[in-house]
Amino acid sequence: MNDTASNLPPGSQGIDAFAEAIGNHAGILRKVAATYCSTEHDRADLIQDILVQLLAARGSYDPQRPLSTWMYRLALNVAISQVRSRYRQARVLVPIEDGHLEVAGPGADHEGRQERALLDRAMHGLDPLNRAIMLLYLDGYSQAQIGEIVGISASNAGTKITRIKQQLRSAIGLSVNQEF
Amino acid sequence: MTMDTNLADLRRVLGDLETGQAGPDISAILAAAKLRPHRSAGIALARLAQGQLWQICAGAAIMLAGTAVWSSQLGAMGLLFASGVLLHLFGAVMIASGVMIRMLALRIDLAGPVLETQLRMARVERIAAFEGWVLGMGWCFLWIPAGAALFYLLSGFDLFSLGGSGLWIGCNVTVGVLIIAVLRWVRDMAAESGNVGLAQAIDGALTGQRVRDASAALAEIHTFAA
Repeated sequence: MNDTASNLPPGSQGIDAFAEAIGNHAGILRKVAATYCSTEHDRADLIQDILVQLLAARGSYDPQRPLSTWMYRLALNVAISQVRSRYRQARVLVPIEDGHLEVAGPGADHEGRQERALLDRAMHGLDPLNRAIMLLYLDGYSQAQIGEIVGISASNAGTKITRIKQQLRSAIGLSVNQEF
Repeated sequence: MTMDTNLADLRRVLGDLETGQAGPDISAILAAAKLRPHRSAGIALARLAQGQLWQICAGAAIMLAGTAVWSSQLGAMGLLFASGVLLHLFGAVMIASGVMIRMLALRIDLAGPVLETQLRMARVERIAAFEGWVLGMGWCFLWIPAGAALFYLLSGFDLFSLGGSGLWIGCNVTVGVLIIAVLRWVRDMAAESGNVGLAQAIDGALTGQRVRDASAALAEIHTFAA
């Protein structure tokens, strides 16, 4: 998949062409929503807010830059803002069981649901910024790319990934053998 | 769920989301978003900027009312004149802080690096929370000056002429303290009756809970950045 939207004129992308380019990276939106929201309703709300912001900000996108990086930055900023806002309103953390079984959607099989619950469980104990690091790491981004999206150095990103893995190992028995 | 989870399992979950095997149907949401591209998103920043616009309008109305009162009292600089000046200043502070916070909020680039953007958002939210608390508490001691000024504008009658300066100043302070005391009593009643939401809302308003929340968020981001 082409990771840029270089076929679009810079600074004045038409909404239809830009929406199509965003649609090609829809997985980013699903992943961010699954990382920061526990219920189907919250995920749909978050994705809608992110999409509105993406379309509104399309004039500032530089087509020579990777679209996925730009989308991730904006999606994460909207998601973290929404999480903090929800937390302030609720004044309590969402219970870990709340909505976890709906994560996979109505048609998903039992195994799929358990796997999605696994993601929730892994992310739940992390603060919003560390969730972003972990999401990008699990999505296969390099330390340098993670640093670019989050706004920290590559070495700092590496240090944080190590700490998060240690935290997950003690919190949920995460095994980091073999490939890691 | 096993307690020995491999990171590969988590990556497989994300893979399902990438391919669309799980999660919401994006195309339907995207089509809806295209139909209303200027819809104000539900993020706190958009609400904050919108709220400041209302504050600026309210501040302008209050400042104009204050100006109308004090300018008509230049020959008799008593409590009504002071009330007009107070309202004028209060309105000016509302406008100035509203413009400043709105500008700061609108200048934040949501597509910027996450850490920098979150830091800027947290700072703006803390400033807004502090401003809201100060202005809100200020109203506890502005009811009588504001009421007298409004009454004068509507009827042309100076309520302060009914009593001496000491009486009105004493009343103003007493009413302010009473408002806070009544709010505390309602808060205690709400807490006892199990209405936690109301109790927390009043508690937050009185003690600056939003300021503390915003400060905590800022501290969390600073800790991450360290």
